[in-house]
Amino acid sequence: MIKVIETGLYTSIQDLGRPQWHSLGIPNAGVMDSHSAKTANRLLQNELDCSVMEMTMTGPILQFTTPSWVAFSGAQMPIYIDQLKSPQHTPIWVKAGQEIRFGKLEQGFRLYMAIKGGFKTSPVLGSQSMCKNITPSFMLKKGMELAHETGIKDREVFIKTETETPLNSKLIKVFEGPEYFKLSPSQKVAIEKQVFKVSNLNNRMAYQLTPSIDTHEISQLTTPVLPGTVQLTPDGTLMVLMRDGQTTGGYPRVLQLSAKSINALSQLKTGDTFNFKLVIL
Amino acid sequence: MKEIEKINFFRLSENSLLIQWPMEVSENTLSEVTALSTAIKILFEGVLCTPTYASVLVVFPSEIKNFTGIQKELVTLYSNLNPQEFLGKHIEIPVCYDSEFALDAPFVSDSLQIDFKEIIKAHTKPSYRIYGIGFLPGFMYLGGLDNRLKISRKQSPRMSVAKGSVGIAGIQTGIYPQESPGGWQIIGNCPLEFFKVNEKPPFFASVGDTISFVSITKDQYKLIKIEEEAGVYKLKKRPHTKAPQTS
Repeated sequence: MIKVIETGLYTSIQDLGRPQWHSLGIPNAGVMDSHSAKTANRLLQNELDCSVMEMTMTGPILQFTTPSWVAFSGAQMPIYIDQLKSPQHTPIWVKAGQEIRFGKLEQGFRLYMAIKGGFKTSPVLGSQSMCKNITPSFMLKKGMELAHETGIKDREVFIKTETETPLNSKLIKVFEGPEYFKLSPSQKVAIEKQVFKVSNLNNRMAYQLTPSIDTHEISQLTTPVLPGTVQLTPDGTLMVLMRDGQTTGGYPRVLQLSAKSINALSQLKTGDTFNFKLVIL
Repeated sequence: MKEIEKINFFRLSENSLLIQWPMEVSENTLSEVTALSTAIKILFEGVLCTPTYASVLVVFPSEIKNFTGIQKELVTLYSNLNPQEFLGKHIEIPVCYDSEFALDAPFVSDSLQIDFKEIIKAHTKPSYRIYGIGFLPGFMYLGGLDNRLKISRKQSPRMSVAKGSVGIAGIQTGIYPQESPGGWQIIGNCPLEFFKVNEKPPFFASVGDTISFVSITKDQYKLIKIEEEAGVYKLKKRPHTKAPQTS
């Protein structure tokens, strides 16, 4: 078991989500930066869809009552096993009774901890991803105990892997969305030239960007959307839907983030700036 | 006869595409949307489809390598489409219009100048088509509201609308499947549990199905609530035997 002594800002268990229920309005959920999460799993030779712990900005304090192998990938923050500072991208053996805590965030926004064999929390609709209104809790709570396989220390062979998700991306690659053609020339120019900032309205559901671009009066029927779809609200705000985002929307879908860019944006936080780079799909 | 020119294909992301019809609320379009969506799921293994109003989102398990080839296959599938592919079902949804739940009944009656009893009649008469499911898990976008019930949204939305609330706004009507903020005028409450995570599927309706509202008393409401909690309530539904009439 792993006991949650402190939760951190927003810590949850995530796998690759439940995309199969999109047509019933159920959010995809799942790890925000799937590349870092998969890297952490790969380090332990886990299946890539094994559930991992996603930490946001500040880490939790975790006490292991049973031993296991863990591996970290994603945002940079010091990792301490008891007092000993431990590296990312390397399997770490944690003994029963040891505590993991985290220092101050240095770069990026979300850090992933994989554990040998994944966490053993109960799946809901085919996924262990915590999500508001779907799972009993949407983040870890103080005192919670998380089950995992008890690890074996010897004979473990691990691969070393480097992460590829940029933690401070200045370019977010996007494709033209279905309603891109409805934009005015000045709106199109703004999207390509403007430096955008992640506003304080950013979470697992959506990232709102500032500044806004020109307003519009495009009115349309409800249409399907995906994580990475960028909606333009009538007041000119660009809103990037993320993993916990809704499945349909009534606003024009002006852009679509590339799969890698969803991961990159997940590592940006309030105040970080970037440019969109339009690419052809 | 279906017109191929009517639909277009849009590559949305590395592994998804949209099939789009002219953006309009039409039973005819929706029957093509749901039939094609059903046929795609049979043809391509592991593919997910979300039909909504006038488009289908198709998500493939991996990156689309041959977009032109897939488009051709989809066009062929569309040309040979049998509108009977998806017939759907009709579901009766119990709603209690008692003043305990119908928070906006006085306002709605006053502004529409219609007695609330007549409003209930007008609301329970139509068969509503489900054009989309989204916004919240199990939230149905319904078409077919009586024109006389057209009303503006609330001036300021409620911070919290009770789970099961039945509302009207503009030409829309719908049910809040869970507690949520909301700006619709609330005229009743449905005792059903909309979203059952332990059941497959977790929600009883699909896009293309129809529903109607059935007025129930407060006592019936309480009983259904208990039956739902015990898992013994039998939802009244029947399959459609033919596709909607094309106009």
